[in-house]
Amino acid sequence: MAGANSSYGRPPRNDVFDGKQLRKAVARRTVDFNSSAMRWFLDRAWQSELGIDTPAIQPNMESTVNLVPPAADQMSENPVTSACTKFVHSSMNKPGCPIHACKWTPEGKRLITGAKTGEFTLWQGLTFNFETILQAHDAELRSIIWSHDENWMLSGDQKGTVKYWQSNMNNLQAFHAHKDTIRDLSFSHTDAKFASCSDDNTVKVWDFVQIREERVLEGHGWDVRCVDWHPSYPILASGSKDSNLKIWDAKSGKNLTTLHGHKKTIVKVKWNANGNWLLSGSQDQLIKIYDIRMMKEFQAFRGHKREVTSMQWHPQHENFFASGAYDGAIYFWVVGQSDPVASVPCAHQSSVWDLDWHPMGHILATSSNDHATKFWTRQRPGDQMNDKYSASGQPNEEGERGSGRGRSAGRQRGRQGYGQNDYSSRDRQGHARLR
Amino acid sequence: MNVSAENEMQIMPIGAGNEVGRSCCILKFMGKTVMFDCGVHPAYSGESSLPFFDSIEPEEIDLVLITHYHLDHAAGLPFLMERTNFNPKARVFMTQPTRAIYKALLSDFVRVSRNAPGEESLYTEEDVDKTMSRIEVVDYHAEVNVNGIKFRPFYAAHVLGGAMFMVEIAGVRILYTGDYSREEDRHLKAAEIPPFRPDVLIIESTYGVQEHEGRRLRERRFTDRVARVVRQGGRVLLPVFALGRAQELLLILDEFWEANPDLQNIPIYYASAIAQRCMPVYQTYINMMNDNVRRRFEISNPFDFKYVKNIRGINHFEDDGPCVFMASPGMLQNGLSRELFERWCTSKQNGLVLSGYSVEGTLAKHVLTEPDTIPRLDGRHVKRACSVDYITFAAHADFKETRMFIQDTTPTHCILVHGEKNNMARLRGALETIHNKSEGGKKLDIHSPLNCGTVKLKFKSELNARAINVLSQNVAHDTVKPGTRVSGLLIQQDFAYTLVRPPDLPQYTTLKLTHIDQHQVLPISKPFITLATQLKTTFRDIDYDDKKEIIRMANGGVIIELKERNSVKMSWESGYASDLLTEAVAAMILSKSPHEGDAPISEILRIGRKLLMARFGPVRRVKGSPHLVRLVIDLSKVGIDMLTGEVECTDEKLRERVRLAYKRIQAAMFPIPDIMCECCRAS
Repeated sequence: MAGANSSYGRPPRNDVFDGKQLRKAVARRTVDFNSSAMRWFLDRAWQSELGIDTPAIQPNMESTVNLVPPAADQMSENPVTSACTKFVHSSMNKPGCPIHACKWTPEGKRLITGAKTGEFTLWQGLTFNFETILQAHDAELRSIIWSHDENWMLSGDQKGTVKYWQSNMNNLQAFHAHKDTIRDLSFSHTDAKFASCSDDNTVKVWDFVQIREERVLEGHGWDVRCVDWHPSYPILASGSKDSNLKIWDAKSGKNLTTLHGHKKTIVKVKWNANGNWLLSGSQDQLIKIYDIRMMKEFQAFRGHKREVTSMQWHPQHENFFASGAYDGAIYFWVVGQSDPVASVPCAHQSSVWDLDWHPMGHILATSSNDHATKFWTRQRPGDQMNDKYSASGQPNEEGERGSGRGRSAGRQRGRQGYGQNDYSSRDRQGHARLR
Repeated sequence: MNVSAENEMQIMPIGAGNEVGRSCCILKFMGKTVMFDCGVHPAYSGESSLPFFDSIEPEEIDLVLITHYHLDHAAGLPFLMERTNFNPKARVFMTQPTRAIYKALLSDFVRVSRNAPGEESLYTEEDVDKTMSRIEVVDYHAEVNVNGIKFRPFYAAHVLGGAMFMVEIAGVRILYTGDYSREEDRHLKAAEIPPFRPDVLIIESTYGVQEHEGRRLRERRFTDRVARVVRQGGRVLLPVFALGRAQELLLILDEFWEANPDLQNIPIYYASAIAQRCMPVYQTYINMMNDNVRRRFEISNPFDFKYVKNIRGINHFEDDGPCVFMASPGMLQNGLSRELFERWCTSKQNGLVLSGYSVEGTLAKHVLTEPDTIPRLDGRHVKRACSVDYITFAAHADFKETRMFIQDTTPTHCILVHGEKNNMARLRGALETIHNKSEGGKKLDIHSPLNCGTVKLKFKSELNARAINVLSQNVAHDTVKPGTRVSGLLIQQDFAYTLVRPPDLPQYTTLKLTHIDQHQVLPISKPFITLATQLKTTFRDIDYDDKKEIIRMANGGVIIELKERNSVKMSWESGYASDLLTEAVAAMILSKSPHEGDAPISEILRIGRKLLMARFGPVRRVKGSPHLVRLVIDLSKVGIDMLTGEVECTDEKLRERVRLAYKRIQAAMFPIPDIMCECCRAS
């Protein structure tokens, strides 16, 4: 865990004044990245960039202090260390309702979730407690994105409305962008434009400042479920319920190519930051990765037992991503490895509608149809992995754990957690350098 | 003449309401019941796959119309006709190719479901044969009238013989589309827009708001895929449903092979016994296909494929190199396609191309997730390495076609059937937006009923009656005011009313005037001339011919003539007035002459006493009053008044017995009461 000085254990039972009344002090689990970031900043002065003289992290509690943020050289070597399988907190609104979208603020201080009721809820990023709730839209929220310059947030809803927000949650603009549900939004690499896609079968390219519809990209035969702007070119990728993945030239509005790799609705497309890889997740339970230099699929990730519902590249590790599925499972994948490198089979009771990495890459937030928003972090060295989420992946005396949760136990066992046996398992993958 | 009335039309899907499969829709209007389609659900088996027949009364059905031969539209028919109390007078119609293929397909369906373990088949092959004799064929565009229900089939594409039915009852038109496609493909014409506007449109919604990729594009992807696999030395497996799209795929492949000489040494196999049996049907009904096929037919039969080889089974097949193999069933449940798939799936070179809809739970559905291993029928798992592609060729209308079809037919009411719940709701929402929520949209009343959910539509029918020749000639039409009395015969024919004068019946209607001549021979006990005199005193216009002994009455309408042996013959033409007249005359003929008088009363009393004696023993007369008698029965004294029938006796039971007995004696003596019997007249 990034938070090396996480305050665990029972605090003294004293009452505190919260401004209105005396309350019992509540111990909150905190995942604080500051100390580990500090450690990294201090150490990198004398550590070689190649990480040769960095000592490997040993699989015991004492080595926790050596855990540094994923961006650190010694961590970026091995993406598996960033598999966030340790459950930290489950945040739920009082009137529960499905949470359709979640997004970290760019500085990582809080998580914004968008609910079916159209409300934004802000959760504290360190202790994960409730901060505020506001009625953002009057229809179901579908998508939340931040501009690359971190100044603007856009949200889209079921009725086709797009709203502009400042980072202080001040609503500046609202306009009707589509006739039907907006499924996804994506900013261009320059932030001058953004793209929206909708159930009305179209993708639209908008001028951000003038709020002008610049182009309507027509060609999909059914609901367009996702759109993503290329990290450095005016190229759009969109996936649709007609199971086609289309790549568009955002400038001319021309359909460059159509990829027929999936056999069911494509729910997410995500460009890798390297600009070459395009990841697509579909309801046919597959995630595929295309290299656009060849326009060819080069790997299919099989493992999900139900429809894939969400996907996100890790912000630091180039070849690492997480995916959520309809059955509430979260899987972690490394490009080049056919099996998931880690998984939490029963992270949620129902579909994981959205997931988002903390900008530091040490926390994964997942929002689900079961009304919960959950926070997951990295396993610490020497972690016993005995909480209920890890349990299904652990062999016990009887061999298998209870039938309900352990449905996928047999398959996942041995590669699920990266606690105690995690850092040793790294040897098998040839990452001995960390030792 | 106008009388307005509201009539309720009920439309109830008992299958395919918010689901795909077991299409069956009931229409009730003006006392008529029409059933559209009668299919089974492919995902269920046994009786649970049938439409909900228990929510209707099969004996009330007047007409069954089957749109096409697919199992989910036709396979419930033998069960309905043979295993329920289906109205024996109901008529069943389908187009000629549908009927021809229906038999072959259903016989196969029975055989397959009989082989399924633990399942009793819904009906037997004999049942299918029996239905064949009752199924009538109808040509496209031919109007048929079944007891006032007029209907007309139109081209629906989808498959050969596919029809949509325009039904007209009492001036209200209902169009049932069945499965249709507005896209012309390689052998079928696109569905027609009927030339007249329906009031109610019952339309399929399989694809909801989806729009198809262009047909050319899909074809190219398909041929590219097939070509790539065979060029790298692999085998292509195309699991297909035996009839329908398979023929289209064969046409595409045959054409592609023709254009690519390098592929021509690679064989295309097609193994389907039913398809081979039904191929003559395809070759016969070329005239129902589109111009493309017909043009080619002038040179050669396009269904005589040049590069496609039909083979009987896997035993006749030498698996030695690249080939394209088309086999059924389409969802890899069992049979040949499964066998070949299990054999070929382990090699990376081979390819599987799925082209149809696959139902949840079948291997075809599972294979779409590109699993690492697949279960074999023998329970073992084998590696899957072959490529899997899914290119849909289903010939159903997409959103664009549905939208245009509704726009072109301009119905008032639209009922969605044959679509998965979610798709249907989306389509309904989209149509609501187009028609009812946006400006300039033509208002449309849209329903998407659940199974057994009834849609009730009110139709205000103006009851019009045409009056022909009823007004007298010299009355000008414009002088007819409300309240003017007219009279004539009101004829109802197929919900249309006509007012005519009776003599004009044969001229203006199909009804015929019929005369009934009646003859009656009656006994007469008085001289004929007496009868004539009697009649003359009672009726006017009596014409008595004493030579021929004929009486003519009512201007010759009734003729009475004397026959031999004291009888007369009365002849007349049946009618209200003459029937009344002859009844009265008959009474006069039968009555006795007043001069003749009745039989002496002493004689009657004598016979009565004799009969009483025979019944009860010795009878004593009372002096002075001849009608009183006394007798002793079972030691009780009984007195009878033979004129009134009164009985005196202390024992009540006995009195009653004697009274009854005497009543019967009187009845025996005077069998015709009132007219002849004085005593009865008295009582």
